[in-house]
Amino acid sequence: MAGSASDSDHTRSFCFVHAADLHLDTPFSGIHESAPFVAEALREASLAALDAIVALALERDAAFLVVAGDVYDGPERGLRAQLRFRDGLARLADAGIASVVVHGNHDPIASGWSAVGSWPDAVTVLGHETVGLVSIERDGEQIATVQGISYATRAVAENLARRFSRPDGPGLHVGLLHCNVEGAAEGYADYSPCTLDDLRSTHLDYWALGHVHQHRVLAEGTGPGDPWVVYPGNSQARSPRPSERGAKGAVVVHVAGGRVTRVEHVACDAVRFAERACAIDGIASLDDLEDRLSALGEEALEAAAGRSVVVRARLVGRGGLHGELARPGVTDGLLAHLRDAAGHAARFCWWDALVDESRSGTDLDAVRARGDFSSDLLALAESLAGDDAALDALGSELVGGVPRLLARDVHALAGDTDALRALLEEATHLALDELGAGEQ
Amino acid sequence: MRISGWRVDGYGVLCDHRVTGLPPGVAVLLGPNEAGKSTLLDFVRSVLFGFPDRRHSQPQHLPLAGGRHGGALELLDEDGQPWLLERHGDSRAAVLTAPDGAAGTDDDLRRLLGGADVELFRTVFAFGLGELATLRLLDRDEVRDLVFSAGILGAGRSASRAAKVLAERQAALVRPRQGDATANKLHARLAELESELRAARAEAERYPEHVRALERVVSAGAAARADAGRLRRRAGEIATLERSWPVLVARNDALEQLRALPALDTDAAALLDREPALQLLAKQRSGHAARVEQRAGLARERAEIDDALRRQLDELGHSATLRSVLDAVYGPDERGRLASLTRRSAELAAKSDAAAGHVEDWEAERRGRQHRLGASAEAAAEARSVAQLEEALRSLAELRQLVAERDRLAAERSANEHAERLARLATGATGRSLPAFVPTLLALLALAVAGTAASARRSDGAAPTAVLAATAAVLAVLAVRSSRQGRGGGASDDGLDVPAAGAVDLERIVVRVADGARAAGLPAAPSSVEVEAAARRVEGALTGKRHSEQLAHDVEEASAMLDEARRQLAGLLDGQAELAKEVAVLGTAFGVDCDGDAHALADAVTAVEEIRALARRRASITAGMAPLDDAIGQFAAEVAEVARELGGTAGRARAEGGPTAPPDVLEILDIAGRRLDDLLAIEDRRRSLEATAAERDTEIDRSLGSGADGERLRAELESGDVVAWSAERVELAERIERADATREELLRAQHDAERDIAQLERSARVAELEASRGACAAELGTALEQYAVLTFARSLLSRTLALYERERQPAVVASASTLFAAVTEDRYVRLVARVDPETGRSQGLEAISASGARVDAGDLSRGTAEQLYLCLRLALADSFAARAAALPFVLDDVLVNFDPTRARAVARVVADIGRRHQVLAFTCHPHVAEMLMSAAPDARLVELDQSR
Repeated sequence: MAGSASDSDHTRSFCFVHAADLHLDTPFSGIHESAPFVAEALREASLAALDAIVALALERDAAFLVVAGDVYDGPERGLRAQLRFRDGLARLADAGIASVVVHGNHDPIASGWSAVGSWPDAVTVLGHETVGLVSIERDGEQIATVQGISYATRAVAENLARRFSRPDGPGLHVGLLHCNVEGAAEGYADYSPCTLDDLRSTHLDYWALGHVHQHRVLAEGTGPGDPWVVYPGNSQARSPRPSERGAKGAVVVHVAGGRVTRVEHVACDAVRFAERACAIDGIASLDDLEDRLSALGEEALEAAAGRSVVVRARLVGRGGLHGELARPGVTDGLLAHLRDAAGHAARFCWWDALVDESRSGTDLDAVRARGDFSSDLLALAESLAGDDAALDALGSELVGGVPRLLARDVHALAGDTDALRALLEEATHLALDELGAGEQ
Repeated sequence: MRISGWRVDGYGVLCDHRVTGLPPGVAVLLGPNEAGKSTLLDFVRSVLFGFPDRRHSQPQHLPLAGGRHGGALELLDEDGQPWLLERHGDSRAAVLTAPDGAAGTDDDLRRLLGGADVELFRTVFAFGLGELATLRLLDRDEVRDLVFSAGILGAGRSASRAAKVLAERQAALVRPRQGDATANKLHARLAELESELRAARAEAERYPEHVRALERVVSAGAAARADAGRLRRRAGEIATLERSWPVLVARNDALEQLRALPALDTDAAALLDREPALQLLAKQRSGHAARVEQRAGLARERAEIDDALRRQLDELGHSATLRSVLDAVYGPDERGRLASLTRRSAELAAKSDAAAGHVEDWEAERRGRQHRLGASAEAAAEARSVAQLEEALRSLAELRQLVAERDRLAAERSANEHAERLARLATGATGRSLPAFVPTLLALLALAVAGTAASARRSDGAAPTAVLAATAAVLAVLAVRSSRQGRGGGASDDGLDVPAAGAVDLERIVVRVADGARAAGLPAAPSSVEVEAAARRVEGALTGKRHSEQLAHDVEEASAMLDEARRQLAGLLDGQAELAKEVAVLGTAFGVDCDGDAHALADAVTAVEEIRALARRRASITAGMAPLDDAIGQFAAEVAEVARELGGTAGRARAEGGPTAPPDVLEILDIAGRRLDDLLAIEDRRRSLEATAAERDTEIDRSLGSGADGERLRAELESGDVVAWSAERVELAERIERADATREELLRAQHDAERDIAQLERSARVAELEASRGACAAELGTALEQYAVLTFARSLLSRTLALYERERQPAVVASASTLFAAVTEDRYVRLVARVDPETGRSQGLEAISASGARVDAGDLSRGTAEQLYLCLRLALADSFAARAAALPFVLDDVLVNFDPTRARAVARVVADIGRRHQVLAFTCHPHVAEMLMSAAPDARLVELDQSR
């Protein structure tokens, strides 16, 4: 069902800001201990991103702001995050910009606590029981209707999209939901699962979604009733994972003539993550390796478009340098060198970790052909890697070898066959390296 | 593969060192200490497998004697084809040159080396005594593992050693119990962080509670502040009352004094009403006094003028009155005539006086002259005239000359007479002359005529006088002529003209002297002294005569002058009489009786003018007194008016002045002023008290305020309950102190609550803890992954070892047994691997002696153990050669610790190995070299020069 557009719909142009997955004031996962100035920057990053989104809405004179869930990272909802969020929306309200917020799986509305006694009138936090509607007016004219619903609890299996429908009324109709659209991205919990057809069947004009941390435009509507389906991605990367890399921010949705004309992704993040693979092949010394890594760091900083960057380097390839890297403390020392060399600039390049995935120059085929001890060891390792039961046994052996207090931490590792296989491969190389280390 | 030679460009102490033509079997390289044997060993390893990394602890052997770091090895492959392998420290990459001159590849080099790496080469093929000794120090498991792993893997480190290293790294990561292993610490830290995080979150979630608590504290604080304010206000009121009480008392005192002041009666009120007029009169008082004094002065002056007028009029005569004087005519003509008459009168008077003076003078002069004339005649008594006397004097002078001549002649004659006195008697001469009295008589006649003429002039007979004068003059001339005639005529007759003839002359002179003496009344022969005395008498008589004649002349002259003076005086007196008549006429015109005295008239006129001036001055004074009288009269009238209006006050003033006191205006004014001052002082006091009372009232009103509260406080103040106020003040102070304490406590609580809230709002503690927890979890995850890798690696090593020990061990051990038996000359006939019956894993080697005794390898002597390890390496080398390539052995003095028997045995074994492998045996011991050369006759001896 296509909505009817009033005359003004055809003439009024405006924009609104669509943000999601702010995860305010939450830690970055997988980041190692860092220097205080980096830790502070990382702590402030999500809040700075929020401020940037608010500034964006003010700068663009947005008609309204929608936030599609996961404002906070957990039901604990840090106080600082809540107050910062309240203050940001209050600034918008002072400027006459309405805000509509729903909660997602990370910050279900029925859980947690609230430090905010009352919200400004222009701010609407939609509940979880029914789909709430908010009319957006400008100059006394209704230009849009935002409807949305919050999660009551973390795990919402219901396809909440089916509760949405296009109401009567002028202006743009926006659906606001935290959900997992089938096929949108891999690796996301299937909360409020739905399909693109589910969303289209509502005949709304724009679906402001949250949950997937990559910016995705799943559908570009052709006109009223044929919705745009957009994930803005999270506002600030939270870990070095691939899904968290690249520019993060919000989208500015441009509306003209009652229809969305363009969706513009605007970076609002303060810190970016980058991973660089560095092959040791042909690198004769650690000094050369450090030079190469420094160049990669500068490259990553350059690519961060004015932001600071946290870099993780994977040392790959084969070469004599592997033996050096395998020695205890070598990669740590190299990492410390890189961090020291990066300095403490306001716009920094922080080396988070050096992951040594390099291999020695040993020719495994030659080893296999030798029929010696290493041949036997390699044959044994390859036999274990191909045997899931044997891998499980190795996992059990691993769990049994650690003290009880660490068993739980190891258990997750031991239960992941692929991880065990990768670890076994690394262990095989380590064993071969150690056998070849000799009296050095 | 074997080494046929080398070229060392620069390596440690070696520089440009070349060796060529090394044999395929044994080559003994003999050199003293520091000849570079160990350096050459490292050089061979470095060129074959690469220079050690700079990070390694192995020596780099940088050139000490110059040259490019590195060099080349000349190699021969299995086919005897020459290869050249070059490697230098600056490039590190090997440069392999094939027999055909082409560049060799890494595969070519790997093939030449049989796939061996540096560790295999170092462990099995190229070693020194130190490496043997190191092996000796390894524990039994590692010896075992070395044997097995080296024999089979062909690599360096033993599996057990590797496993031990891995186990150490595992222990650094995880330990069975709580410890300082990385994962243990991270886990503990993680638990702490989670605990702290829970606490921080709980604290953050108390934020609303803090806010509510703050609201409560703020509310309570406001109430406490209000309570304290109320108490302070009441305390302020009490303070105001206590402060105002003395003011109220002062105000009441002022009112009381007001009531005690005397009331004003009618007179006093009237006096006060007239205060401005009195003040004005008081101001005019000094002016009035000055005017009175001025007028009195004028009155005194006018009285003096009146007295002067009266005296002046009296002096003018009885007929003169002031009116007549003032009315007399004093026209300009009269004044001119009076002036003229006065001048003429003065002139006439002066002339008359002068004429009278002249008369008196001439009368006196004539009397004097007559007296002097009489005295002179009486004194001279000389009858002769002057001319006579002058003639007598001239005669005496001639006589003096004659006497002198006579005396001279007499002297001469005396002188001559003495001789001729008798001869010549004196004869005398005669002479003739005019009588001497003629001139004198003529002179006297002249004088008489002159006197007569003078007398005639005084008697105003002009004609007779002139005749007499002319007669006298003629007589005088005649007298002079006669005198001269006498003297001149006589001179020619003087004795001077006596002829020189002495006697004659003397006689004539004597005659002449006698004549002269006679004429002079002297003896005939007077002496010169007598002559002189007679001359002096004549001169005296002449002088007196001349004086008398002059006196007589003077008398006559004085008489004449007297007469003339009298005549002039008479004329003047007549003029005066005429003038007196004119004066009298004018005096009559002036109304003054002046008896014709012009001066008297002038004096009278002067007196009249003075009278007139006095009269004018009097009129002026009288005129000046009029305004003074007016002003004085007006002032007196005003004072009288005030006094009249004051009535009683004036009466009192008079009473104060005394009954006999004159009604002096100023006194009245003074009395009234004093009375007024008294009244004014009272009134000032009244006004001051009234002002004081008003000020106090104002002050009290200002302190107490207005409105209902002000009225309440005023009433409370009027009550004057000071004791109650004091008690309430003390009580209020205590209550305020308590209220302040409560308020401060609440303020502190508010401050604390605000601080807590602000800290919570600003706090990044939760985020910090979460970040730390995340980092800690990441570190723990990494540590556990590393632990897993280490665990798996150890497991792989352990499992492979067990497999190898079970399946591969016997062949190598058997080969080593043969070599060891040969070396020990069958002291030990066999080597046996000990195996754990449960695990099947080898637990080390045992040497079986010829007697069957089993000796653990670890228990062997150092030398025997080194022989055992050497045999194991030789067996392993054989095994490697059988599978890959026969690489050259490079031995660095490994026979040093062997006894001569065992050394020779080992030499034989080495020589035997030399048939299958190239052996480069370095030694510094000539006997060792000789031993090796003996065992291997085909061996080549290469002597190394220490000087290199």
